[in-house]
Amino acid sequence: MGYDNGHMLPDFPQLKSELRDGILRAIHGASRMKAPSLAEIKTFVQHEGTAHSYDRIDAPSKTDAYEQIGVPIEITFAEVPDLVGERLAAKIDAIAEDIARQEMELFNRRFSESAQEVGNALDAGGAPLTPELFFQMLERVHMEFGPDGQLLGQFRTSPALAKVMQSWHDDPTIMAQYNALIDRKRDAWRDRENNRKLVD
Amino acid sequence: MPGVIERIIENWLTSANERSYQIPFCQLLAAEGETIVYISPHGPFEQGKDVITLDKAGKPRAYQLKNGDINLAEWRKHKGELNDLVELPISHPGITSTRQHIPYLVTNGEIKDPALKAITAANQAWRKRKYQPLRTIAKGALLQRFLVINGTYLPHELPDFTVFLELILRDGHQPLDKPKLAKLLESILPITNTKTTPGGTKRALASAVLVTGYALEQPYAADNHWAVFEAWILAGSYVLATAEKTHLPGKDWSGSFDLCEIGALNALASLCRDCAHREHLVEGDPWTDGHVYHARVTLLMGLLSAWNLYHRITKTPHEQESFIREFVHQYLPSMKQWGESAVPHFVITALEMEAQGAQHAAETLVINTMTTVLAVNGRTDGRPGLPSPYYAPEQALRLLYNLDQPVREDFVGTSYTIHPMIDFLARRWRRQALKTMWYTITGKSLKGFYPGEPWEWCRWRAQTGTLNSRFVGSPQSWAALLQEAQDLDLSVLPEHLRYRPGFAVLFALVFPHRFTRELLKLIEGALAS
Repeated sequence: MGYDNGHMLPDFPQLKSELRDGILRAIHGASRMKAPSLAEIKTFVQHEGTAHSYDRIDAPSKTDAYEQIGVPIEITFAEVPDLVGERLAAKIDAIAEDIARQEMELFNRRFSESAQEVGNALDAGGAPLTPELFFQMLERVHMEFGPDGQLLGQFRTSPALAKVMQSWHDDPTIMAQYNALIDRKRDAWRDRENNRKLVD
Repeated sequence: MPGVIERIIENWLTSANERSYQIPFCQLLAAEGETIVYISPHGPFEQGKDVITLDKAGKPRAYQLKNGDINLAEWRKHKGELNDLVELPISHPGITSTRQHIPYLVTNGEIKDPALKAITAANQAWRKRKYQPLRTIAKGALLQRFLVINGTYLPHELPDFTVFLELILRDGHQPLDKPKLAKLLESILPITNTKTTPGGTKRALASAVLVTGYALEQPYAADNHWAVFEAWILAGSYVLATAEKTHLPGKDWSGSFDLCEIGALNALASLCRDCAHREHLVEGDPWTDGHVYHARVTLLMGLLSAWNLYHRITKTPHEQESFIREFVHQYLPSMKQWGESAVPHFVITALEMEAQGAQHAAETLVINTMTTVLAVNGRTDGRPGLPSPYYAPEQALRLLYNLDQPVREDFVGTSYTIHPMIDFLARRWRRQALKTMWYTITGKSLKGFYPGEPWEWCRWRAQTGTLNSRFVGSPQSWAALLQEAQDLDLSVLPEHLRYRPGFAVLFALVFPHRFTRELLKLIEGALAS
């Protein structure tokens, strides 16, 4: 939408600029609400350049380029006069939904690629999830614990698999195996914590 | 819009004082073919000569700059200095010629008829005594020469012209708008479009210096030496970037670079003089000054220390060394961090203290600075960490005082400046101090941005390049750490910066996002040698 024939009607550019900033903040906030797991990930802004190089645990450093995600926004002239209040909120919500979906897709894809690259991916070949497979997968996970020794982070899975895993809670054998694995991971974490030092 | 440009330059010229048009005037002379030999730092007059040059034939010229109209009273007032200008021979190592110099009186105002008659009479007397007569350059001729030299290189497209106007009209008491000046310089210099001749690039560099001078009218009028310093360093950096990018021979750009560097150094000299004459560092509204006082102290500590370090590296002693020693000692406890863009000021201050012999205090300052960054950026209470070096002091202070919306960026868990400080301490064998901090350091993602092209180091924001995020070793071998700190590869730095470690000290304060391990090593190496 631009100015017709170079003419200009009375306008309030500064006010609108501030309102636009507010709308962008609202979109960002709403997209975080719709993808809460992304909201827990720290974000940083790369102010210049085109690539990011970073360290990985048990794998060589990696350099990644950035990917652009975007949402096409269509606003008709007829919509503009009433694009305030609830209608604006609805528009913001729809855009946030789309952004959150794209971000989650990007996250899942990058997550999956990274797991494959460092050899942490486990393919069950279509077989149903068993405790053995689950523990096999957990063995490959780098786990961090809080100062109180509690496991940090979260597992992401589909609702169907979550239901299966929930059922294991009532099986004392599986839970004993799980607790033993977590204890081993906690010991490994303690070793790593002890190694956070300057030596000869 | 050539008419507007003429009016802008005319307005700048008539409003300028002799300090603010000195560097542009020198650039004008250089562009016209003269070789600049000496520029006065505007302390006490030195034999009445503000600028000394050699003309194309190698004959020395001496200029005295004035501002405003010169009437008979002004002429009489300045007669002593003008006698020195005409009669005292040039005593400068750059002038080997035994030929008598040609003296010039330059003003950005008019020379009134009675004064002209007095000059004519004085010239007759000087001729009889075998001195060269005094030449005059007044507003009209000066303006014409500035307009000619700018040629087509002033920003001519509306967006750039708007930036130009915004800079000119900006309140001179405000900090420099570095992104805006960088944008203006990029619109003048052939760094995004390399299709230019060496002659065209040389003219563009001259225009960049002139435009920086025009943009500094208000800061000069307000005696805002910090803004003046930053602007000349930014302009000098863009001269280096252009030279590196276009492989321009030194003779085509070094003159413009030297003028920028002199402009910055003169601003620091003025700042130092101001500080020396003050009983306190409070400025402006006392109700609110407490919110920015410590940031001001930190800036001043870095700036004055950098000035001293520059002179140490270039082995050009100055008279204010003992004042700076006392100043650093007095205000050290009042330094505070507003963000990671403050860290270069702390480290530069530490280097100055070290050069003064206060080794332990210097190292303690760096340890304390590191401890603060690690503590604030190690918070787990949800509060934001220290803004990264990409946030200027005012931006960071606005965030601190909740005057701006929170940024969509987490600073906790990261740091851009810890790694250079680790190297600093490792090279001084502060193993125990690092050992104490190592657990906290291992939890931080240590960042450093490396431009893809060497010339982009001197650009405000690089288009190419990689942000490196690294974790230190856990465990980390001390021997390996020491080796790494000593063996850093300085060839990642642009050649023109590598050969100018004195300028690199000043650059580190103006470009805090370029304060990398290699830049610090370069500065330390120059100081050690």
